[in-house]
Amino acid sequence: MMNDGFDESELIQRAQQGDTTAFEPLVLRYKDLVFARIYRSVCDRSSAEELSQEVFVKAFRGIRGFRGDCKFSSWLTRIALHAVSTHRSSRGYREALRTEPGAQEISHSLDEGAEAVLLQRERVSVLGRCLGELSERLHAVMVLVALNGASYEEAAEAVQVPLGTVRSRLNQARLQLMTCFEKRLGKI
Amino acid sequence: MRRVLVESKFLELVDGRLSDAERAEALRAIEADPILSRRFSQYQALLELEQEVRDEKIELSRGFVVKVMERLEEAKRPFLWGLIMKHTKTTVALAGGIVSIAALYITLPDRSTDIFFNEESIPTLKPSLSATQSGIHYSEDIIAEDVPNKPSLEPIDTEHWADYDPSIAREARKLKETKFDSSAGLVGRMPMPPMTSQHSAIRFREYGENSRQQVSSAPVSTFSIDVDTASYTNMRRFISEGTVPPRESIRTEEFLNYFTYSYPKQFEKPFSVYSEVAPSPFHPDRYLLKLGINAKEMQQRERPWNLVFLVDVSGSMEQTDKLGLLKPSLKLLASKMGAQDRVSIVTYAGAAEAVLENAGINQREEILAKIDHLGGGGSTNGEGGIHEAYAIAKRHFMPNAENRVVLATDGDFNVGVSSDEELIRLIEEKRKQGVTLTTLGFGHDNLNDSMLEQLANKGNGNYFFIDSFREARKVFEQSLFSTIETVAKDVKVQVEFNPERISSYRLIGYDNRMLRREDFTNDQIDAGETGAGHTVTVLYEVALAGTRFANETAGNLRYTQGSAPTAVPTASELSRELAFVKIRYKDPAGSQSKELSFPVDQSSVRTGTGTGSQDLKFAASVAAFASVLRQSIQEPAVPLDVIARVARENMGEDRDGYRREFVQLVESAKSLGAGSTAALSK
Repeated sequence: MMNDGFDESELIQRAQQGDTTAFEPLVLRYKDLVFARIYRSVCDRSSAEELSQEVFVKAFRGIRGFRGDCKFSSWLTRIALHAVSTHRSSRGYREALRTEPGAQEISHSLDEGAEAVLLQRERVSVLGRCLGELSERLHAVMVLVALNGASYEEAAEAVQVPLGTVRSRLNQARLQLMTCFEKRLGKI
Repeated sequence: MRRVLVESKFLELVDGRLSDAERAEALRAIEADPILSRRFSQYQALLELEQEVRDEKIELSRGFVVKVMERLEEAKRPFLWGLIMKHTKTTVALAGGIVSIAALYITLPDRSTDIFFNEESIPTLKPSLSATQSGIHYSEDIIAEDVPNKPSLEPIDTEHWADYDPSIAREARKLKETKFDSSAGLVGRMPMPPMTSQHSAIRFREYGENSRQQVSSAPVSTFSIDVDTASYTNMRRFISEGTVPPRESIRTEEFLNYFTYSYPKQFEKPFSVYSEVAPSPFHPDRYLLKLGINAKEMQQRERPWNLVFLVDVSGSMEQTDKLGLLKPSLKLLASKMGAQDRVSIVTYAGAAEAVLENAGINQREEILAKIDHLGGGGSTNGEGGIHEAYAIAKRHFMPNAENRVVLATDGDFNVGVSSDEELIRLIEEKRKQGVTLTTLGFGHDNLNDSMLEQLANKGNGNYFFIDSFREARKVFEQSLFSTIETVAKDVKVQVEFNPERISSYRLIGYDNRMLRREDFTNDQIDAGETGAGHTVTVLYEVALAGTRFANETAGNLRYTQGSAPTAVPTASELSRELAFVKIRYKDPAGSQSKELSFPVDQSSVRTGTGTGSQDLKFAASVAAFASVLRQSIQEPAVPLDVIARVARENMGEDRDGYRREFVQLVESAKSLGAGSTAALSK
């Protein structure tokens, strides 16, 4: 994490008293973390940015409920996970999952030339769709650990399950993703 | 080794967590089986893909911070501005408000005292009531709400929770020990946490909790119907903001009624009742009686609408989650107008202003434009908003129509009436003249939840908390008829239990809707309303006569012995009626009460663990979740994992995704620490 010279607990305390200026360094400090976690969950930049904004707005509104019994980043992650899970149950998201990538999207990719780029894009796009099919509990762990590089301990704190559960969910998530890839592409 | 078993070890294999022997065995199995070896190489390919995803740098520009800060400032500025605006009207108003709220609790006639009964009033009020009014103590006439809550000392069987997860049973045992600690448990009512600023400025009221009643001494349970759902949407918003909702904001019946259950539609009788008795999915020795009260559906609109929107446009409303949501909500409603409907709009903030009066469907464009232009804040002195709204409703009153004022606000009732008491009186008086009131709550920073609920209750309308456009669509689109079109008013329910079949019962929720037994037939007593197609779900936890649970909860009487404990009763023992449900109501325009009755008989009963319908089990999860959030002293706390699991298994068709969302909320609540041992022992 960047060292911006601010004392985090003091910033939080001030934000809890309604001081928005104290919240600004916190947004700056955690924006990329929150955005990456959301972007890699929903695989759509504009929704991810909108959701990230909401997460910080909600975090500020609810900051008085932050009791300091976990890391601030874990608390933000929980709010982000909730925002993602709400988004995942929205009609727009589910419809987007159902529509296959259109011809335009593919021809645009062809302009790029290299076949490798096209293949890589396809894999990432299938990954996004397959993530959409995972259940909530598997999805959260998969996104945090596998796609964002969070440690098992960090994920355990954010999702509030034991370490062993994080590992078994991660394994299960991967097995399901493999099956989904096989259905759509024949392989990864 | 079996394929599945090997696959379950893939992660440990790639993480290097297996012992040498285990590793060798796994690799041998993979090599020997072509399918497994393909799966394992796919697993490794997936790891590579994950690495590629992680390597992609994802960053937001500084502009993002600016946008967030703008949104925060936007939310903050009008709020403070609004507070200044509203409270500079007269400083006396603020002080007067506090006094009048206090006065309201004290000076309402005695019937209202019951509705408003609070922590302090119970011990002193109840003895004098039973002594002066009925002249007898501890007789059949002492009904549900007259018995002060006592801590539940009932045994809980938590062992079967281990079916879900052994660690849960351990947790449950811990909870059990904490919860029934004798020094903590015998104090009586839980102390009410002070209204701290933690939950911003929302005002909730704490009501007592219905306790277990012995059928031998209190065979009859009477309450008014409640079709509101605001408490649920409020909870949803708290949790989505990363906060556990305050316990006094939880009204269990509003949680239950947020969901639709599969009660067959019917178009003839004003009400039908569907009943089911089955073991609770959480405590198999306790049975649940679920009543589904189903109001008549309408094929089409039966009556035209004369709607007057009274919209708070003061500074504090100018936020995306307030006016920003209100406008599309009203447009949705306006788009549903029929040929004979009339709409008016009155705003208040500065001076009350009728921005649109008695517009018909041919002026739809104008209506939509007026809705678009709502806002603008205003000066002080919001005199007369409510008077103006009622005056317009009266001016265009249609005898055979739904004449209704729809108040949309973030909770400030500076509508031109000097006190809350006067406001309630005004609303009651207008209701008698045929104009009803619906309240819509927006935003979280200043919401007066309990007041909005009470106003809608007194105004024969309903109260919704709109936290999202999705919720607006639920209220104004999917259930529009039931929102606007009343099929019955002053609806009261009375359930009489057969002591031969049921030895005790506890009504779950409806804590502030309890009526005295004699109120049922007293037509002067106001009660709830239902709209077309509304369903009201009622859960009782019952002890079937003769079961061990019935004996354990009977209490020790010196002169009366409970019957000997037996196992779960057999089907033949359950062959008679269990209860008798009566519904008393008035037609929307009528003043004469009518009654319908429905026996709960053997055909409703299912014995054996897990035999209840999906609806019953889902409703049980909803009630259990409410109990955890409410920190119920009557209901043993169930671990949130178990609640989520049972709810997930019983989502049924769930066409609109609301049940799925519920499961997510329970899981989020757990991650926020709701229902933890610490929270309970507090």
